[in-house]
Amino acid sequence: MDLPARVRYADPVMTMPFDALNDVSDEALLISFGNGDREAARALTMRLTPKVLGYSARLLRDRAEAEDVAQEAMLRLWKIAPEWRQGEAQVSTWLYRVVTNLCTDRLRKKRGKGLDEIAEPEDERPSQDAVLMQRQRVDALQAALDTLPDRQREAVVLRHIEGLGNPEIAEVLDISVEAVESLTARGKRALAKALASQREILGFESDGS
Amino acid sequence: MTELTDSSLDALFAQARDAAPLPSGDLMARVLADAEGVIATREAEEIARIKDRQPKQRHPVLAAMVAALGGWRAVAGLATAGVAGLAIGLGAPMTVTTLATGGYADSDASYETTSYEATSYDAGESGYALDDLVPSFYDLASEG
Repeated sequence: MDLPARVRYADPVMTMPFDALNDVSDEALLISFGNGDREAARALTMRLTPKVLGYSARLLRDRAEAEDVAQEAMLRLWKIAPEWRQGEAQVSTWLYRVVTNLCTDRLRKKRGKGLDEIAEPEDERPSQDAVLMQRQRVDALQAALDTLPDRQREAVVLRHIEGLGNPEIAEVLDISVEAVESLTARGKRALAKALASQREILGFESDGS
Repeated sequence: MTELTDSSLDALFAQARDAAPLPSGDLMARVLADAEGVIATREAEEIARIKDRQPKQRHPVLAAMVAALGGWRAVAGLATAGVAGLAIGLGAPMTVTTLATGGYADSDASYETTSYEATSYDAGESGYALDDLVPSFYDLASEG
C-alpha cells in the first residue's frame, strides 16, 4: 500500500502467526485494531461474532435479524476502537450491552406491528430421534423465554446461557446487582412454570418433583 | 401442575448453550468487510490530516504586504510600536503634555528662585519634577 510511514505503525501484532493471537486479550486486540491492524480485526471477528450472534439470536429468534444485529454491533465496535479507553469496561460486556439495546429497539418496533408477525414456535412432534429431541427442548426453552418480559429474558439469557456473572450482567443492563438477582430469580421461576406443561415433550417426566 | 425443577432447567440451559447458533461464513465475511472499511476510512482521514499539516499558502495580497514591509519580523516590530503608542496615549497624556510643552520652559525661571537643595531633590538639573516622568493613571480614572 502506498501509505506514509506514519500510518503503518501497527506492525508488532501483524507479524505474529495467527495462533499467537489466542493469548492476546480482547482489549489488546481492539487497541491494536484501532491502530490499523487487520490481523487483530480477523481475530476479534472469530472470537466475538459467535458470542454476539448467540446472544442476539436468543433475544430475537429471527435468524436474519439476529445476524443484522450482530453485524451492527461489531461495526460499532470497529468504530469505537480508536477511542477505546483501556481498563474502563470489558469488550464483551460492552458488546452485550450494545446487542441488548439493538435488540430492544427491534423488538419494540416489531411489537408496534403486532405480535402475529413473530415466528411461532415449531410444532411439538414426538420423536425418538435424540437430535430432534434436543432441538425440541431448545425450541421449547426459547418459546418459554419469549414469553418473559424483556429485562427478565435478557438477564436469564446472560446468566444461564451466556454464563456471565451477576456484576457483569448488572453492567450490561445498567442496573444494580440486586436487581439482576431478582430478575434472574423471577425469570427462572416464570420459565419453570411455562415449561411445566411440556414436561413430557421435554423428557423430564421422571423428575420426581 | 408442578414447576420444572432447577436441575432440569439447568440441563435445559446447558443444551441451549450447546445448540448456540454458529455464525455463517457470510456473516463473518460481512463483519470483516466492515472492519476493513473502517480501517480504510481511518487511513484516508489520517493521510488527509498529514497533508493538511503541511504549511498553508497565505493569501497572495497579505503575503505581498508582509514582504513589502520587510518580512514578518518587521511587521512584529511595527505592531509592538503601535501597541506601545496606544498605551502611552491612554495611560499618560499629562506626562506627554508636560514633556512636550511647559515643563522645560518653566524650569529656567524656577531654577533661579528656589534653593539649591530643593531643586536638586525635586527636579535635579532639568526642569522636570519626578512625577512628570511617571505615567499617571488619574486621567483614565477621572475621565471614565
